[in-house]
Amino acid sequence: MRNATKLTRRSLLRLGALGGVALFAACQPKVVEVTTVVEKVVKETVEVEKVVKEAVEVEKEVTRVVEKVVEKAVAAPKQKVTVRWYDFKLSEKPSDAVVQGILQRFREANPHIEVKEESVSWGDHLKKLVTMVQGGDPPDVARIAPGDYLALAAIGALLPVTGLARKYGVENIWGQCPPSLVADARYNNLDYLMPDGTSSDVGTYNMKILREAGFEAPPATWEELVEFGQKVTDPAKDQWGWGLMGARQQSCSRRALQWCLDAGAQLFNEDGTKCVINSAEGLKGLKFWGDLELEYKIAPPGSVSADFQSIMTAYAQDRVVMWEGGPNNPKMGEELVPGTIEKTSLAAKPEPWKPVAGLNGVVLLAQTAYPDESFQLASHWCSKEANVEWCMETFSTPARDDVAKDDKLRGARLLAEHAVLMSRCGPDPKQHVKWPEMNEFWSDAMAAVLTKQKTAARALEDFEVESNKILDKWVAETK
Amino acid sequence: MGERVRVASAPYDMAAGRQRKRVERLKEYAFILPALSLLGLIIFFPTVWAISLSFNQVTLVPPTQAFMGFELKPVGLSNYVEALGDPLFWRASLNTIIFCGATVIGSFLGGFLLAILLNQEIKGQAAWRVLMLLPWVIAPVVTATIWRWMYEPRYGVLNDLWKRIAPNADQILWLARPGLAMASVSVASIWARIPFMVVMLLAGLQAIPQEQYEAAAVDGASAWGRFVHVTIPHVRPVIVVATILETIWSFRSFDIIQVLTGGGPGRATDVLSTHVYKTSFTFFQFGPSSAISVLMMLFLLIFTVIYTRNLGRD
Repeated sequence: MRNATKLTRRSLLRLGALGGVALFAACQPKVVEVTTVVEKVVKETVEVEKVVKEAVEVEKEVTRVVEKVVEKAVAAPKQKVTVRWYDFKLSEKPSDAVVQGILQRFREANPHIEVKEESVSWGDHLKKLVTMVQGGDPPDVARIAPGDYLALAAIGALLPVTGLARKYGVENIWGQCPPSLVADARYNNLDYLMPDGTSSDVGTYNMKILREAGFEAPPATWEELVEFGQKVTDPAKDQWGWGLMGARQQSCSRRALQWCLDAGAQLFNEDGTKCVINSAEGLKGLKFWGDLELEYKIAPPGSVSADFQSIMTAYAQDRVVMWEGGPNNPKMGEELVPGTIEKTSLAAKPEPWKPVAGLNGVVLLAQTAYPDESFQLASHWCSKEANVEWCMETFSTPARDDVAKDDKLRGARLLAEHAVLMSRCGPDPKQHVKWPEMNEFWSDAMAAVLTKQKTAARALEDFEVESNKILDKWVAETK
Repeated sequence: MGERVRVASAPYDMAAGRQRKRVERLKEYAFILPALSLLGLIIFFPTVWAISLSFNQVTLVPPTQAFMGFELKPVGLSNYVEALGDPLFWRASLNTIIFCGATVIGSFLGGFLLAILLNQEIKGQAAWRVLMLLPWVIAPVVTATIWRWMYEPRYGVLNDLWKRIAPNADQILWLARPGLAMASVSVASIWARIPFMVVMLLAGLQAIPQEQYEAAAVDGASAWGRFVHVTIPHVRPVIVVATILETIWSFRSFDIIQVLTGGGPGRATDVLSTHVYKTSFTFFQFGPSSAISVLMMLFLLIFTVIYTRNLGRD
């Protein structure tokens, strides 16, 4: 711009001078007078040029000064802030190390943001988070399990991130995820969750033992599951066909419920105001699930106390041959018993099977004092590079299409097997504000069936009655 | 000389005396004020707050919008009606009575027996007494974790012993069978509570004068007779206090049950304290859970008054 000004002024002056001279010359008869005038004009032009040159020099100096000021301002440290990162731990080493790596890179790129980590065990993370929110001392960013963030959003604990995503130009995160899952994850049409993965339970099979028993492929139907399970079950060796989880944990209850959904049951009515699972299909699913231990005896006795950790350990130790989980589960088993991944094949659960999926991710807490910095941390965690690293190390299923197609992840066999099955997944009906409460009664139903305190029919009926009490109260309060 | 000199004393100033007493009283209050403030903060305020919540419908909101993040809407007694009409409340109440009864009776009987043994002249008496305190000094959560491993069907020491006795029998699912789970939890609780009973009852036994026993022996009383007519009457006040305290602690016991079974399987070991916990932190229903807490407090108050009057009188 400065050069253009310089050129323009000189050119204009010269042209003006020459034009003037020419005009003057054209109008004046005497050459001598013209020459004098020309000389005068040239002299004036030179003086003007000198002035212009001086002005340009002044401008240069001013610009230099301004640049120095800007440079100092840029180099000056931004106010240092501390952002609290809250995480749950399923396992120890790999996920911990990869989390450390991702967060450290964020720290290096943002020296003015200190990230303070807090992690709790899987089972406690929602209760602890709610307590922290109510105590007025919540973290800024939290990694959250599927379904839990709806309950938090309903109590106003979360910050919608749509505006921040627009501000920082990262709206494409949701565009990379399956639209139905993104829609499912909204609350009151706002995005609260920034997705870092998706979860769906598929059949997890120890093909080494199945092949030894003469089976070249996993069971294709429920009947085959019973047949295969009875063939490989050997109580004397403490080896069981199916890993049944009956403990009072979200990771156990969702697996039990899935059998009812697989049989064709619906959990809620159209508008989510009534529980309608007490149906022939629901009963078929719950009864079959319970009978895996009670009648067919292919699940270890005492499954009512079996939690996710115990079944995963049993699978790694070849005491359970088949169960249901995601690709990260054999990866966790690999830490306990090397070779778990190699012996595992992920395939469809026996038919009928209607898998569902939900988004995992990070949320911002509404009480955060640093929404911008918190969002930067969250979007760094959910960035393609970090997500690829996270999914690769932990064998978590990516939610983003661009991450799923990354070359690094293509080499992971289990992820590839899972990705094929993910295409069958539908939206998760448990994505409901009241599911955490209903889940308590679902756990009661599961325990009642496994301990023979109730028949499956009675347990299902009681669950539906209790659930509808919760839903009726919720509808009355929110209407 | 020798004259008694009467020194005229100033007339007694009543107002000044009252002023001095007032100042003394203020000083007394000033000394106990810090302790009272602390008690007020950690006992009175939470109690009053819980009672207040029990008469309100509580909605969770960010703490900036309401005190402690609780938006209150008065609903009178409906939280109490809801709690009392809930079958799960009665189930938890029954479990609480069973658990409490088992713990108190078990720890009393075990503690009394051990106290009698430790009151004898035995070798290493001091060491035995210290050893006896170990379950008491271990944190309840650690106790529950230890017992959880002991009850583990596959790796637990109890099933290992069982397998040696009955190699062909099935492993016992200590925490997975509803009836057995309550017994298992009670045993763990008794183990943790026995030392307190031992300490209290041993102190009571040691306060009994030996002459009483000698006199009873001279009168021809048998060992059992001496126990019933000398030991029990003397230890009775200690028994009253110890059982009241033990009942209160067992009634509101939470940690051992939560860690061992979480109230499961199903609701087999769900007691009032775990029920309150679930109602508060899973269902976010702080109004009904506060109502249950107040009902627990009232029950314990009434029990303490009745028990103290009836047994203390005798």
